[in-house]
Amino acid sequence: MQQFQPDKKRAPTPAPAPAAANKAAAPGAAGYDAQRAAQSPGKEDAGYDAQRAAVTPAISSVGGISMDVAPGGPTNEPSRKQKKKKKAQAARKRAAAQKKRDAAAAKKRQQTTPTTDDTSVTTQPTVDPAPAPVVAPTVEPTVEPTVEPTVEPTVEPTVEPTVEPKPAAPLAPMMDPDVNPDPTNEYAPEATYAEFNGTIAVKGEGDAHAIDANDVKQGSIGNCYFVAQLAAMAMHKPDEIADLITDNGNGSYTVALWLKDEARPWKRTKTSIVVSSEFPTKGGKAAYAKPGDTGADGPELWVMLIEKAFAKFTGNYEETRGKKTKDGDVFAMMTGKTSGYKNLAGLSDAELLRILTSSVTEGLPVSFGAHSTATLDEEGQKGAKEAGVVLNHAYAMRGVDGKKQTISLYNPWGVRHLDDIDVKVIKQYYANIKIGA
Amino acid sequence: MASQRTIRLEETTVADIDGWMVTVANIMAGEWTDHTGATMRGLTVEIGLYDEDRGLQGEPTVGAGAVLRIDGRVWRVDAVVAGGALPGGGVDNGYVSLTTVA
Repeated sequence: MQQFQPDKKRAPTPAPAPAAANKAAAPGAAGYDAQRAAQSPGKEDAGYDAQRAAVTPAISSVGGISMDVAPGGPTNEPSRKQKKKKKAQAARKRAAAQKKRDAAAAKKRQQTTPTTDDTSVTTQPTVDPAPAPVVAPTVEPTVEPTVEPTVEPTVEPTVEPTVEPKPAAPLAPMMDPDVNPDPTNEYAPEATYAEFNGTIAVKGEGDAHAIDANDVKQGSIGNCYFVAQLAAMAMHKPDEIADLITDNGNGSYTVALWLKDEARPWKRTKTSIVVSSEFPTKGGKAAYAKPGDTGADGPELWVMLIEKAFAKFTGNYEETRGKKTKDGDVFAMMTGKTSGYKNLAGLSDAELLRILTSSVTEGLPVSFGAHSTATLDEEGQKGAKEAGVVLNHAYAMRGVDGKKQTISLYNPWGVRHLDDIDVKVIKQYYANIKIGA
Repeated sequence: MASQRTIRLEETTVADIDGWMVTVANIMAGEWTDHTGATMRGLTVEIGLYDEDRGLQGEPTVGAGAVLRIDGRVWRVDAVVAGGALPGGGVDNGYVSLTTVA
């Protein structure tokens, strides 16, 4: 039986510090958008548009000159036209040189170690397979295609300064992702932020590694697809998870996730997201993912940090819901490699067991998606309930036994796991599996 | 007299109520027994009640109108609402709403 460590007896996690003033009052989502706009060029959001708007009047004025002068063009002497063309070429060369200098400066700025609390979402050019689109200053993409055709025949030296890229705006302090207090978030209307002074990972009792599946405990939001995949990753690739999180030593952490490029969703870019150690709480306890073990340095935060980084990327915790998420491939988010997906209805018992056994042998994480209640008839619903299955829910696979033909699943709640379930029962109540690479 | 409190719990998630871990699962048609002992039929939900130290203390199946006691406080089940038909991953969850009973 290939089986992971059974649940441990957990030391009670002390309640975090009393809830601070409701940080949700800070405009988390709006602040985040503005910040992201300043740091993620190429994204068509409000901040980017604003910056583009600041540039556009200059471009329009170039167009105005063009319109005024061009009608007289054909009557000019050829030598004068050639001179103008040379000037225009020289101007273009200068602009190109300036663009290179600005791009290099922007790249340098991007690589600077974060020092503020929870202030940035930055990309890492060193790990990005195609860094150019994400590190260029925000102004440049707009200027280049628009200016050149218009400027060429008529540009005068006085026009040049108006089209030069502006330096990137200084980073504004950004609050944590908004928890959407009432009425938008109907499940956590009372959530407030509180500081959790802890550490990334703690090797607790019964842990195979400091980062262990039994650190995963879902909270009051419907993102079981997310936490189930975290648990599966923790079983097979704890070191890869550890490599994603850095303690910045100033109360903030940097979480590196392979996020989808909005313009090219088939492409992922490793993106550093800085988050503080403040998390939404209800009644003094974490509202969403819970802390893991408790060690000498406080509670274990890795699940909360990754969940929060994803919430920050998406805008807020609400957007991490299974219903709303723009990225359900959490394995790929952590490894950069697209996961495999299989519908169980098309597999025989033997095929499913072979796939799962092979995944365990190769050290690949697997998550299961249960059927929705609505897809089963009343008899099926009753059977699922009697088998202990939570419908509409995601699980991490923690064991498979080819001889006994059973499968064991970890419930990301941290309780109510399913051990040694017959493969036929699994196929009856589960719709699909996801296999990480 | 304590003020009345209403909360909504999402299916397939875990809430904290007065220090208790409360799980919400399997919203579906079925039967439950109300506080008078009468058998009722309608949409039901499994509510798991976990004490931090003592573990699972009960997992009653209840429907609208049922009464739950959590850490000495009495809650009435106001509504049980089913989700949609999309499978797995909390994509189409239903919910249950509870109100404290004075």
